[in-house]
Amino acid sequence: MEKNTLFLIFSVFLAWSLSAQEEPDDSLHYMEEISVVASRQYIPILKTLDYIHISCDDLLKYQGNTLAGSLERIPGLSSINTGTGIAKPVIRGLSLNRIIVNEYGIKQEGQQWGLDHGLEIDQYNVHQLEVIKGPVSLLYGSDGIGGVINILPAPVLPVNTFKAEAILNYKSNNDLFGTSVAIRNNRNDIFTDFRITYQDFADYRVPAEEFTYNSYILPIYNSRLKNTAGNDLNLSGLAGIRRDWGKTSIYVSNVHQNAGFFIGAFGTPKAYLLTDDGDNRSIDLPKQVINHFKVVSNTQLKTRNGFLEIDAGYQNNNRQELSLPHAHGQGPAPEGNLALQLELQTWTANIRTPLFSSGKWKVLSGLNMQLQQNKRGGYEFLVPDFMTVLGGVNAYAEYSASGRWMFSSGIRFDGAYQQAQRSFIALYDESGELTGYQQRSPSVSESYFNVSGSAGMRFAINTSSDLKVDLGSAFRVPTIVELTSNGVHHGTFRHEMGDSSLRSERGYMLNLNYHYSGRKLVVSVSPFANYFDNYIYLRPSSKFSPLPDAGQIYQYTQGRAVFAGAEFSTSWKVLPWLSNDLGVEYVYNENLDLSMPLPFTPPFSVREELEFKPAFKADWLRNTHFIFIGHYYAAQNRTDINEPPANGYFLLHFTAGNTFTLGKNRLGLSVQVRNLTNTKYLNNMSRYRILNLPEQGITVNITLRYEFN
Amino acid sequence: MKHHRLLLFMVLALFSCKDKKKEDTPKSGKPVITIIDQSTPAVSEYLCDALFGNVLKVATGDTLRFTFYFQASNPLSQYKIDVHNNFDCHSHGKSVDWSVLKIEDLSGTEVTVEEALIIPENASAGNYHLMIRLLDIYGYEAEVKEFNVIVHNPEDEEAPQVTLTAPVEHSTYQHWDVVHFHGTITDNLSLESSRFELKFTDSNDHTYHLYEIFYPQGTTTSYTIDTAYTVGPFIAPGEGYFTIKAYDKANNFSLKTVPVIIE
Repeated sequence: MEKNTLFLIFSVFLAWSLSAQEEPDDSLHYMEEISVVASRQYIPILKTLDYIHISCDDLLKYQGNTLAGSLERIPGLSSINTGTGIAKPVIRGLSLNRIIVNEYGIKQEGQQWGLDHGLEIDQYNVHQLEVIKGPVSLLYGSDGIGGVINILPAPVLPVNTFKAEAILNYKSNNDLFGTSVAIRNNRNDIFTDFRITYQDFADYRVPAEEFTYNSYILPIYNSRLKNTAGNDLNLSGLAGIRRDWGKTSIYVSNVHQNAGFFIGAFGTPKAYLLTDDGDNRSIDLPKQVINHFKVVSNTQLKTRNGFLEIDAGYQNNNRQELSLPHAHGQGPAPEGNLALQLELQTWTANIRTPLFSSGKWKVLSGLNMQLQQNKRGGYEFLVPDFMTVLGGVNAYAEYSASGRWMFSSGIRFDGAYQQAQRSFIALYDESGELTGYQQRSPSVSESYFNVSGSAGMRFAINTSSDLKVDLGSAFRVPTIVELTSNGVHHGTFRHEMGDSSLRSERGYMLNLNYHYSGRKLVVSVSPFANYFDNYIYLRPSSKFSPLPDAGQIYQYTQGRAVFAGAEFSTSWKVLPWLSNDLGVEYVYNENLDLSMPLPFTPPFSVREELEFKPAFKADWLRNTHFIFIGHYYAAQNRTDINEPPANGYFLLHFTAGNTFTLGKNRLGLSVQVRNLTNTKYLNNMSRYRILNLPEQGITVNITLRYEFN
Repeated sequence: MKHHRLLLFMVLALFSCKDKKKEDTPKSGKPVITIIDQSTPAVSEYLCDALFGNVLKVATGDTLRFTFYFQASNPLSQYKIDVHNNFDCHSHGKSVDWSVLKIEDLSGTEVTVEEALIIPENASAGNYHLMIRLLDIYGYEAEVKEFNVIVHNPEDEEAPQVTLTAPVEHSTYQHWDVVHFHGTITDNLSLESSRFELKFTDSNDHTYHLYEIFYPQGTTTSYTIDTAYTVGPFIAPGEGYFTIKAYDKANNFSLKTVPVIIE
């Protein structure tokens, strides 16, 4: 078996190196696509999976609290939230390390395993992105189980042009003030792009004066959740050059997030902890401070073979979770407030090139490599220092049989190696004397090997509708956290324990998509079914943590699971001034070993959107639009052990906006009212659901965007 | 009989190895902890400025006796009794005075357990948390039973004394003014590992918890107050008052209020 796979890898390499010498006849065609859409349109798998492209204008128009929140409008996407500042994306009920977020071709690496760990991306710095729902391991290797969110670079400005933009943002619910300023320039095809974003928000308001936890009625002073304030400061810069030989650019960014946690979310909430401190903008303990620095280089070279794409990146994700030390048994009391620090450094390199192409065939190949190093700190032990190496090579082909049939398939081989040192904790007797050491986490030195593949087809039923089918397999290497963690994770306040014998998680997915695109109506139906034979999840164990003031141990376990569901959406231009958008989504999952649901499953939801664009005579009112959005979420009663269910709810949002043209410049104004009825509801996708805390109440969001050309 | 059991176990083990993937589906529903009997009845009492109805008042050397009835739909697995100090109202810091950490295995779906918790003679006075937790074999967790135990120390019932030289009563302050606090806190015993709080109540009767300051390591029977507060813009103008609430190790406390005018 191993010999065969080695041989296969070797063959792919060989084919790749040989192909570099062939004369392609279709290279020009590829190049055109690259320079127009920046990249990725030519990846065959995109044509057989559910693919969505989103522009920056759409992101601003439907802006949520975070990037993950803004994407919730897309059927099949949701987010797991911790307050207003922290959110992680969910695709078809899959999240954590099962979703890949790529920025400029480099996979974002920032402790994605944590439920309360948000995405370290400046949502104003997203010019365009694409979402692919379904298995993408073929393209990206480990973690490509649920899908990918690709944040793409902005198209290069036309030669010798300049553009600047300033965004001002206010959100009434948490008194958020935000600003983002960008300057873009292209001089003789040497282009630059700079952005600075700052936002500061206060504790958010909920439509409640009290909440009930553990039979106690606890106060919420001034309807604000104490210590949920935060701020972000993001800086980024890009510089590049475009010439006959191709294009290259370097992108540097730093995202800094400072977010408080609701003070009652750590341990059992107590009334006296919730008293007003008189300043709803203060970020006290417990809180998290995250800094994500990255350097990404993107190069596209024209070669005799077509093109060669090289992406390389370095990321430094520094996560600090701060809180007052809790009761710690014997031994010296911890010093300082740094509970947990994780500093993750990631080096990535990706190469992609066509192997071969003719009239009907296109064959591409890629190589990915990633090296990671994690260092820990703080008085809480959760995960040890570790090192991870991942590498993969793939080849994928597209075959257009006729105008109506298109087939794609591909195969990928991945290897991974992970290493972690054994960790110990000091033991003390009752008088506080050191008596010895005990193993806290085992040493890990594991290799993994995975083969993943995908086969799909697209059939054009007629000029306006097509049918896509894709069958794929995807995998993910267990994270070191899943293998070795042993301690109270402050973010979730649970004792979490790893299992060093976990194997790679593997899934097999079937995706279907029917798409109709008529003159006035667009309809899309996407059913899917996934089967996992080694699904890794945190299972509540039947044993208590031996640590003081800690509840039960949550143990990383793996087992069989299924995920199935569908999305349905329509976009109907009813009248020239009226359009109607409908999105329906449903996910069913089951832990087959226990015949139980899995945690954090998005509920069935229906989103109905009516957009009015009155035909005003006045020129300056021409872009005026009014949008009414009704979003119904059904009750989620399919919950895991100890996961409380949530009732259904209905939210109403309203947006009014216009873009004024001022000479060469444009001024966009948008007023968005979210949760118009100030509905009190519990969201099972929120980390604060367990405390019975209601979600954000009414908020009026005002966005001003000035574009200077 | 013993051999039969062993054989049965081996067959079961073999069977479970062969088909270990599929487990029984747990019955839904959390386990429940019911307290059938307790030696000290719970009373309502202000603790850390909030009213609690689950307060047990005991003295050092006393014994707290409970009879618990544990019940669940699935077989029970474990219960845990956890006592740690809550001197500073945040359950932070070390538990060296009186702490209990007891985990016991259970079986069956209904169990009655008697527990006796002896408060050591040398336990520091103050408030403690007592928590009783229960799990079934699938990890369903019962709602935690929680008590605040106030341990009273017959050897120290004297509250600390607060004297303030600044701020002067009825002084006038504006927003952003800095109010300096000078004075002393004295007690009959060492103040170490206890604290004082500074609060302000404005003319709207809204109380702000400004500071909680711990007496530093090595503090003896006297502590010198030297702190400052910048009057926040959110404080309503009019007559208000600062309150200093000083605690000692036995959780005895005294209050000192200073009326001021905010313009």
